[in-house]
Amino acid sequence: MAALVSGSLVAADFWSAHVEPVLKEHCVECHSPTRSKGRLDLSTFQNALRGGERGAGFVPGRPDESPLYQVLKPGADPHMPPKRQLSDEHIAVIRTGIEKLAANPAAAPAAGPGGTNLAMATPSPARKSAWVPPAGMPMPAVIDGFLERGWKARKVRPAAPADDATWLRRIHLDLVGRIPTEDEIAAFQRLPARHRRETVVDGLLAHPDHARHLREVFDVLWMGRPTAKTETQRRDHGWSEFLEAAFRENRRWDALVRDLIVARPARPAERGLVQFLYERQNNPQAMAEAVAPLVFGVQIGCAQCHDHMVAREIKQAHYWGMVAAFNRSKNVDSEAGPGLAESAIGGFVSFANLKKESQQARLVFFNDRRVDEPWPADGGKEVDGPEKYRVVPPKGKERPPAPSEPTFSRRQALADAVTRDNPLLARAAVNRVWGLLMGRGLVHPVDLMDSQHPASHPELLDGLARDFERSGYDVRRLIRNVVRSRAYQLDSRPASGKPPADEAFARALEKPLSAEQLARAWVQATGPWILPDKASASTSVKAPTVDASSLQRALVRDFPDLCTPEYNATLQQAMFLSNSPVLEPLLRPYPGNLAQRLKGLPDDRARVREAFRAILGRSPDREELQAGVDHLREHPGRGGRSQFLWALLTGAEFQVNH
Amino acid sequence: MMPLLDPNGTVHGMAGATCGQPDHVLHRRKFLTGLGAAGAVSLGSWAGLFSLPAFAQQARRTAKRCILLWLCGAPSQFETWDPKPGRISAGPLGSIPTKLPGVHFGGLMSRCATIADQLAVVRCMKTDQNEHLQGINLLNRGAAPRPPFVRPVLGSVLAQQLGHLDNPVPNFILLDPCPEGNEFKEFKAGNWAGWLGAQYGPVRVGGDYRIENVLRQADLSAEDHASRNALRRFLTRKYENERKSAAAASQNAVFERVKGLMSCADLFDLEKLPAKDRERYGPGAFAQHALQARHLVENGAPFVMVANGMPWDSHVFHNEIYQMLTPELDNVIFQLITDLEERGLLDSTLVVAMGEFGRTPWLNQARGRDHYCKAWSMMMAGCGIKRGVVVGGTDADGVDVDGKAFDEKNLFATIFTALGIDPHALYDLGDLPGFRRVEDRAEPIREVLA
Amino acid sequence: MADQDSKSPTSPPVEPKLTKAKDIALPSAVLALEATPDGSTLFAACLDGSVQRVDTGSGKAVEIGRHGSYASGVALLPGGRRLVSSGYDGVVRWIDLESGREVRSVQAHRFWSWDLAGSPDGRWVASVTGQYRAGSYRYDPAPGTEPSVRVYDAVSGALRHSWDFRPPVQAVAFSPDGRQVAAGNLMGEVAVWDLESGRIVSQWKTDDLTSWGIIKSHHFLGGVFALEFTPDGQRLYACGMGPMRDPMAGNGVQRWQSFDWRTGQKLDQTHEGESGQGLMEALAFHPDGKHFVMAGRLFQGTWNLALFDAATGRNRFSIDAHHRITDARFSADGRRLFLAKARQQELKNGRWTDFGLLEIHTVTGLGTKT
Repeated sequence: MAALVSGSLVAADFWSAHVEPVLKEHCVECHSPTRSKGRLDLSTFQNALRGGERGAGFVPGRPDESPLYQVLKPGADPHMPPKRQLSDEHIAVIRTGIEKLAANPAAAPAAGPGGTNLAMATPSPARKSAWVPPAGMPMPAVIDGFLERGWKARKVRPAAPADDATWLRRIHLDLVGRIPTEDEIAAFQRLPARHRRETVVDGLLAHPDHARHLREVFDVLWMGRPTAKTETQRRDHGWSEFLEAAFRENRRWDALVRDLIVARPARPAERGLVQFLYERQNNPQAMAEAVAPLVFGVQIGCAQCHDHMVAREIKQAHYWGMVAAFNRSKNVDSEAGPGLAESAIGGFVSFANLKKESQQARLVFFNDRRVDEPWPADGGKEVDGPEKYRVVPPKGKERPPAPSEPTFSRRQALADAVTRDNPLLARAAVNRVWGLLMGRGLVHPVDLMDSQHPASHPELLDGLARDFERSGYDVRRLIRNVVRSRAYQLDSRPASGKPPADEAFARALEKPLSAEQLARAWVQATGPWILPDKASASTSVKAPTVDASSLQRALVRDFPDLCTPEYNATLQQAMFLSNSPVLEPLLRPYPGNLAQRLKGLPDDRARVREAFRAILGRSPDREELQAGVDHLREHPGRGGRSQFLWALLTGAEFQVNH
Repeated sequence: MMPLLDPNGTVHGMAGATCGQPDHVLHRRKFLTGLGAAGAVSLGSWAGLFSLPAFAQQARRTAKRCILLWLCGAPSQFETWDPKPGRISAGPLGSIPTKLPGVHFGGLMSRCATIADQLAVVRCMKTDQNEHLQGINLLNRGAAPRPPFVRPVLGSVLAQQLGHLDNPVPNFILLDPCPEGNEFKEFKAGNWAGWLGAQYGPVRVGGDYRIENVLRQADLSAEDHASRNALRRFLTRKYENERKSAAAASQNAVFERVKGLMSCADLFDLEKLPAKDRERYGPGAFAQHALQARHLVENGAPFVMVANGMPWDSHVFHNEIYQMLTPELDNVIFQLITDLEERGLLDSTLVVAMGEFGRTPWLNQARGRDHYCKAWSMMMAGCGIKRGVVVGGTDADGVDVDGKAFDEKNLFATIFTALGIDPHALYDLGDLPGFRRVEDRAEPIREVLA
Repeated sequence: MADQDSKSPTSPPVEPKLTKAKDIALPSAVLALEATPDGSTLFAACLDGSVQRVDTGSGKAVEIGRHGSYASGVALLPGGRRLVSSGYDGVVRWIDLESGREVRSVQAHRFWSWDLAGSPDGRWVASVTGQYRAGSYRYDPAPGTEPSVRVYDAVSGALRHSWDFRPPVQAVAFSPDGRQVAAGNLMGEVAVWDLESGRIVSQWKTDDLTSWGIIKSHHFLGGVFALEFTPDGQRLYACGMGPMRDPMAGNGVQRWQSFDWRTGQKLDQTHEGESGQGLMEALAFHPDGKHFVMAGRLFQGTWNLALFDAATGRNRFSIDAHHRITDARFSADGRRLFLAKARQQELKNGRWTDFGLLEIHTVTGLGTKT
């Protein structure tokens, strides 16, 4: 950034201040990352310069030779926009913007204002085409290749690789939702140096805790934090079980999403999957709003009352189209268990906005797919009948043997339209998984993959998405590829003074621990908690004085967030950590636990080292050792030791996955 | 930390920075020996060196403060400050004459009408963001976004300028009980303090956002409570500096407030306010929090923002909502201004009431008014503001501004100038582009400045 | 079970239908409407404060009265000589239709008149008011500062009853025999008074027509927007919209509920699957006593005007009439339905376009009243 040349800054500044608003208003509806007619994306400076399938759109300094300028003139053929004419003023602005590009055609306006899409470098038409990874290159190397080129373009240096202790803690938190046990640390150190990390990764991916961790994460992401009632329901209906099994078996992501939308479990063991829709309580709008981020990576709630005001490609018709797909469905408690009955008729609705008259809600979806369905003629009445069903609904109000299923199911039609031949599905999944592992999506926030939020590395996102599709939507493989990249294994300390922008992924990004991870980590770090009548070689047997589940419940209350776009510690959290009685039992000595061990150590130096090792997984440096020793000396006894533990457990280093 | 340079070169806001090795060591030792008696003494802060009672008292007298009544959803100017009696765009609330000759307010603003000679109303606001999220950001940050830089919101800037870092009362408080709120919720989840740093973010209270866990554990002495937090802070600071960690900065920022909060937690308890005052302001959440805001600023909070979800967004149900909201706002402003005046605090307290834009002169087909940023109104009173002035106007139906229009930059320039803060001072952010508090040398609205 | 609608016992059942025959534009949105029994003349209470007399044949409109704010109610007294109107100025006016002059003006309320009704026997006129003010942290309505239900002698204009009922009271209706009057408010509370004794006969609350805005607006919204007794006087119908987390969008379920007004027991409501979303503001019974219409705004669904079978509660016919409907009345012979509508207000080239509409529909497939 220090190398910004004033000329190119002026060009980029002008573009973002004056040209971009015009493009956003008139062009981006069809030329955005999610809808790129002619493979042309005009949403950012860089993308516009890159051009589309017909090559570069703008020749710096030469508007009259720029194809995308030529098409704006009245009478041009082809003419853009297709049905409108930009005003002379707007055309002049674009002209000036192109002229200004001549000032420094070779410079890349790196993280300039307005443009965050910086994967590619120079806008000069003479530059070679973008890097294409050689065929057969393993995905981790592909990831690194794209990121490295991004570092060069941004002129940032990547952080150093993370050391083993840091990496081990990180990989455990990311894959199994907890910090490594003593045994796991020791086992790691015993492994031969070569391929030891890959061995650990494969072991963790196969570990039952991996499925549990993914289940915990996606349960919150898809269903939100439960109330007391829904917590019970999710368990009783077998949702948690289903979700965990799906991850344990590494079920194909597209099939999993399809199953959630269709909500007709093929086997009794999978009955829990209906909870995804069931919990929305017969609200088709809630169902649509839950499904859209999953299959398109966008939030469509804003388009309920009008076309999205800013990301114009999201239309009201898309919102209501998806709602219509669900508005024949209803919760039912059949003999086969809770499920979603679907009617064969009805659900032909219109929607209104504040400006126009009403329009029909057809089955049209954000990915431009539509399902043709005959609409009853005006005033015509639909007649229901058993011939329209595969599973016929009951005549009266008695409990049906199974939820009714029509021969034409809108839910099935939607599922097919959005999980087959829908490239957005893979992109959304990749972005989500990348975000979970790397601390930030390639599009940020993760579920706003619309024209207003360009990807930081669009070719990488494309590449990962295509690979994900071709692999059969293999989530485990995707995770494995990401964590095996060098970029994932960077340290979180930036290379030199100024930290690079997060979207460069030039260092490991911090991920605050979730309530579940924190509860587990606290119990584990301060343990082992061994019941008095047996000594266990493995970890975490609950002690009577430490109630891990109430600890977790207390934490969920004050630390409910998961993967927020912005991390904001709250005062309430600090008050909780400072004064809540919930932590105190962890800090008190108990046979075999950390506090007890500290008591038995010969001197304060040894105590400090042991506390650091058990809690932070490393040795203290000279300064930390001195600070710890000073503290213990000034506060001798049990109180001082427990305060010392408190400081380590509530410090950022423990609270954060770095 | 991002120090701000005043034109005369004084550097502020450096409290707690690790400026260099010796300071750092001294800093740590002081903490470890428990020198945290009357709140965390930040040795890097010049104000902290003078924590004498006399000084504190004087500081209180000269201290400035600001209350922002954030009317989220966008209040209709026709029903509040710029009615159009007799016109088709008038709406059902009518209009009433005020203490200022020739000036009318909306029909349900009867109390404000009696103190119109204390208020400054700007009727010629014209901005360019007509959607909630963009408008809320624009009117809270005072400028269009320039990613990747995040301009701090008004409260953060004033927290830094008007507050001091060893203030037990948080320098920026948001009172809003509504956990939801669509776009406002999104805004609340964002980065408020921006380039000023997490310690200038808000403390949020109201409704279920309570200050809990206020009491120290029984078996923990005050000294031990402080010393363990000092150790935590030392370690987290180290972590923060090594990694340039925003997460750690955010955590340290909130922990800094714990001790102060414990000592002043009662300020946040509505039940502790006198019943008569509570009755006077009105029972609704917004009114109660406005009273609480007054209480907080009287007791050392430099900036309090009062909101209650987004109730002003009357696309549908316009009359039905405004019949209730407008009188509440009217009474709140009346009580606040008269209370502050009575207590001799109005000259040093700026009260701002506004939303993210205004509403359409016409009714839509759903019986409501839609968003309108081309011509809208807002109100200010108190510190540095002229009493009893109405600036600018709109045409007969309120479609366009008549004459000179002001935007968010002019507004922020006015707020800063009124509070004695240089609006055009440069932020020193290293080798990044120079940002000023108010860009483009935008002028304050001279007509409202005292 | 199909109704035998036709008069002739041998003809097959005919499906009822409403067909738009005509619309008449008015300068300003129509908030309430009345019709002469023969349907030749309509009276419209408009947003600009005017009360208009409209000839349905020619479509010509003449202003016959004006309020200081929105005109919100009209009631035609039997005999056709007097029209009573009310408005947001709190005033109730009597207009002599022959001379076109105002006969009497009464400041009934300090706040707005939300609704006006006249008893079918011509004895009474009632106007309801009430301002929603914050009454608690959660914005429960504060008690009223003036009586919210006022009943006047329709002939002399004398005030006969003043009742306190939790404000805002948004709807009022007389029983067909003129002995009771019912009122409904924001909270879904309904009360019925006896007009002779002046005492409350029954009172109940329905939670199905009111919302507390969890998402954007932590206060109440909705309530009872219209009330109608059945022509046989047995039941009372109320309409509004169902509760939502974000009621400000006006997206609650389109809903009517019927009650045994003596006990407050809920008897029926819009059947599932037969309605969409949107606020319902108008109820009107067909003179055959067996059907009624409900109308309002379409947020999502297929209709904003529907005809229901009063016995079964089923939706017999529905149509998307495109604009917000504020009021509805049948002609005395039941052959026509009159609708009051509000459109989008627009400013085009400095001129405000007409944004009020009266619509006339022909009614087929229902029995006519003799």
